Amino acid sequence: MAREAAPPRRSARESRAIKYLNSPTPEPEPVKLQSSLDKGPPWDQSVVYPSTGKKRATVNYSDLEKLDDGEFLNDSIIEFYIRWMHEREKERGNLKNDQVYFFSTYFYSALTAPATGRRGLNYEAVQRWTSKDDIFDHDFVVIPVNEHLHWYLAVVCNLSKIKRKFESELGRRKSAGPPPKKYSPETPAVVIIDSMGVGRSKTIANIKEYLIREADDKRGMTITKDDLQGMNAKVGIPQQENFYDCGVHLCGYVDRLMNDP
Amino acid sequence: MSDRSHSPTGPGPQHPEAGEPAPVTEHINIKVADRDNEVFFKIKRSTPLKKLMDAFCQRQALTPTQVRFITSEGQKVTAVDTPDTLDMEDGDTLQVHQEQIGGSV
Repeated sequence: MAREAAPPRRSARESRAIKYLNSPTPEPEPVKLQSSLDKGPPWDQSVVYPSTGKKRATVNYSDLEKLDDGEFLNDSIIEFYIRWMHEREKERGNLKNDQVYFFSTYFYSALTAPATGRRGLNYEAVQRWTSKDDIFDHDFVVIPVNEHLHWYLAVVCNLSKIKRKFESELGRRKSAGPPPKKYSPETPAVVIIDSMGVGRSKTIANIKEYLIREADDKRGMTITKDDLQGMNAKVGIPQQENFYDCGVHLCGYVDRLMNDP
Repeated sequence: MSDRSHSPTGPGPQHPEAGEPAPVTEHINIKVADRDNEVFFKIKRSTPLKKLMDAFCQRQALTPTQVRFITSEGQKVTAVDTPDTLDMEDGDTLQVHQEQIGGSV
């Protein structure tokens, strides 16, 4: 019985969750969305998406409360939504399979939580997170960051370009002086997108340091801080107008990125 | 490195019974660590890790929905995962993290 019931049950829950994530239904009057209204009877198991494979996201019934108006989003919801969007855009053909690499929302926390008795970045804590992947193969590396009860997004662009640059440099050694300080769409860069419009230079520095360690550790390749630009995206970024919506904004940024990479 | 040599099959040539040629050890040692505690578990490779997570939460008086278990390869453990589905090795660590929430501040 369990075997027969399982697949349809899962997909029913899944679509329900998706419906919630897309929530703001275009209703004439603003109805405060409360989970008590219509989130349905409790599920006894978590929704797991996708149902097989790596990097599955789960959402529990209790997570639905986080979708209520005025609530803060949690990592389950964010991860589910990112994962779901990723699959959707791949299906629509907007994204190539390996174009974007997503880190878990815990990546940045694990990286920046100092190891016991030590200071600074804890590269070892995340060293094996990419043991089966090569982040330098992707055009975009997306790092959702949760810091001090706030969500924002870090995107590393054009890492694959670094690789090429490195290989070509092998032939002719280092030539030119410092790179021009201009934001070209080709340049490898760490970009912060934050719905509060706050500069995150510390985060940029941390991610650069991680990339330098990762390049060295996984590829034996030397990159320096100057190979990577850092910027806080300001222009044209929708900002939040309340104190609880940054998670929603983060999802929106990722959505836009994947629609039009 | 961690040679606990607990393998029920022993170093013998082949399991006498059962047609499976897989000499994979049936049990696996897993360390579960949060900020201040380390707890060791020994479970079957096919046992859902939910059991282990529930046991850890109960022991540490944690609410299961407010913590996440993350493998050393950065995978979040879901209720249906087993050591097998996550390719865990003997002696692997699960790191316990708090639920992340964010609005602003």
